[in-house]
Amino acid sequence: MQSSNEKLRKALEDSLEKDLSFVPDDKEIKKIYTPSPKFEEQMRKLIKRIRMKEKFQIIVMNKKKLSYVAVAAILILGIRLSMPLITVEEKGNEMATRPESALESNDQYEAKNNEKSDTTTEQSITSSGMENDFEWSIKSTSDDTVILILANPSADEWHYTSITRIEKIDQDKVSVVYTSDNLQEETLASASNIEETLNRFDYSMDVSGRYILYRNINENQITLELEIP
Amino acid sequence: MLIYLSMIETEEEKHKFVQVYETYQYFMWYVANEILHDKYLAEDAVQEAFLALTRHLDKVEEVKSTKTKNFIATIVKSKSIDMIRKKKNEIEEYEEEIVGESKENILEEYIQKEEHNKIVNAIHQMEELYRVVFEYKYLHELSDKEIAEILEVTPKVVNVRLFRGKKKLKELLMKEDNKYAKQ
Repeated sequence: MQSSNEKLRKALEDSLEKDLSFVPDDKEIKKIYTPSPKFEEQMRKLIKRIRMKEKFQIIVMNKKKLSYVAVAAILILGIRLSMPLITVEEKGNEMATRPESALESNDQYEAKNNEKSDTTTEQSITSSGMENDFEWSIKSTSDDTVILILANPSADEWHYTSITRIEKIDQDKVSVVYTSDNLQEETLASASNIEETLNRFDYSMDVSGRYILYRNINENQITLELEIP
Repeated sequence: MLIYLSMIETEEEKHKFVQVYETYQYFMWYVANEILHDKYLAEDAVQEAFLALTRHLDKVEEVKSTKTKNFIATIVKSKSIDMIRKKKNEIEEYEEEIVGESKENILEEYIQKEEHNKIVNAIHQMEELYRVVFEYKYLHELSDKEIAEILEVTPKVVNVRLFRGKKKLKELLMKEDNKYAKQ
């Protein structure tokens, strides 16, 4: 037996559909009605707002995801960094029981290990000095290219320049490897993001190591740290 | 980090609202105009309906479906009724004792025993003000809070309308019974 709610639902559905069956199709309605310019303009604005809101929600959602990924990356990095310490400890114990002649080959072993771990192609370093939520980050690095991401989750358009300066960091020493006097200004639309591909040799990032990239966003200087493997 | 690649919206998400607009714009205007008998007021009602829909787009699963068409019809009807009420400066009465949802059975037993056609006839005779709340609640299965959000009233007002609607429907069903008894 049908429940009273189900019976009521079916009756409401039939009743509504009976009413709507008298509504002519769009072709017929268009003969008697043309939307007013005011209505069309308001709807256009509403659609634009909805699209922007949807994009913004997706960006916020992805930012949340990004924070989870960042936490996971930190944990993985932490584990990876602590591994050599454990290995060194283990080796220390091993060496204590090994004859001294074996010590020489240990250096070669470590050198080999260092070579193996230096193959990173993806990075997640985000810029500092960023304005509000503007994000400048690294998507990936390969042999000769670096792909950067610029993201503007705000509701306003932002203006950014091309890279103004690049510094190379060698332990405590910082040297300028690239400067540009011919700055180009670009606009990044609200709630959007772009990818920027750099040939690292065009920017004098010839050797592996750490670099700091500079550019201006809305007249504020922002930086991004980059590691070339 | 590849996270921003996933930022690309699905076509479905991106265009659902636009699809609804393109599919039902004229239909909505017609339904509103049938109630308001004014081209421009009908456009205002359609716009209000779209605004309400933006907050409940998750209820739309498939754009071109009877379910969605019915849902959209209920929204535009309720917005049109609301405009008439605002024009007449009608204010919701609260003084009536609400026993509301706890007295669900005031209608239940009648619905249970009545024939389908009689219930449909009775619903047709109901005031639109109560009928749309019934449609939201029992046909589109919205919560009182969601109905309140769309109608821009408090959940208490929704409860009042549901209670009164049930009373009216019960009266109408009794009338239908008497009509049939006389025949």
